[in-house]
Amino acid sequence: MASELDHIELANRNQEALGYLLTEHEKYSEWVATVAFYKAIHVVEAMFAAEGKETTTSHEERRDRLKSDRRNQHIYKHYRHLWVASTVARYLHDSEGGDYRSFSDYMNPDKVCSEIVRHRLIEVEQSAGARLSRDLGSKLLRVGSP
Amino acid sequence: MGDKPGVMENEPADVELKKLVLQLNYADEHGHVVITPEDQDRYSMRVRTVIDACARAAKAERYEPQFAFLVQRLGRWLLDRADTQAAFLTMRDGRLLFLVVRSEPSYSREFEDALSAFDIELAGDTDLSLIRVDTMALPPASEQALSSFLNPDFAVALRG
Repeated sequence: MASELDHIELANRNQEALGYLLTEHEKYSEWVATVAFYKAIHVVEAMFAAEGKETTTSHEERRDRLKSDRRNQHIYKHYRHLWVASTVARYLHDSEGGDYRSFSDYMNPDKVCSEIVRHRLIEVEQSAGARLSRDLGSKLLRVGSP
Repeated sequence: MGDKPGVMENEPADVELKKLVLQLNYADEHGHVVITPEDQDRYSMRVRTVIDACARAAKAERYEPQFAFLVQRLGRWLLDRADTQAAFLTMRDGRLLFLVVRSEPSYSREFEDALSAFDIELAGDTDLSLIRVDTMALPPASEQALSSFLNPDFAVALRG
């Protein structure tokens, strides 16, 4: 079972990748959404570990734990947007489609930055990050960290 | 012989009851039960397997009305949403998924917030205690593109 520190380090790896992708967000907006979601997963798992709960073993179990516990529901409200956006980004492409052909029809690159990264991911970071242990929480690289 | 087949006349009531009520005790989990079906083709099963099967059957009996209630609730939610093109109840990653296809391709913060709130409501509904369901809204893609989100073995179209 990965520890709180393991998940913080994995979240930080995602943050580094996210920072890199954001410099070319118009070209890689699908990956911005996807990496933002994977960072959120590790922030949430770090929170579970910090609170002495077992980390989850599947996306489904994690969603259940977030939505069914009142303390976690604020996190879930934002986490869910990240999950859905990354799912559309990864799995819905329609080269012969009409109104929808690719991810940018769902969410343009600027919206990915403002809605997914600077709103939803920051909300998850703030809410879950506040529940990390005092000594390790400061190690979490956050959106906008230098 | 009395009126009931297999029950002797003047047999004490508790003996008669024991014949009607077969007890399977989990403490006997390594024991075996011999089952004689209608065609007399007898077979044997471990007590534990039989108890587990009974528990599953009991759960399935309670699951059915909850599932019907879920379908009603999803339909009611759709009634209030004119901005949907189609909706399905399907299976994805081994669990139920309420999949809504929106009329507009672009992401809607208001729609997603409403769906998140509904998702949390469903998770906390005590009348749906046996059911785990996720919710997801997709843009209006072609049937072929959407088909990868629908389980070919289980996808029910819903209407509000």
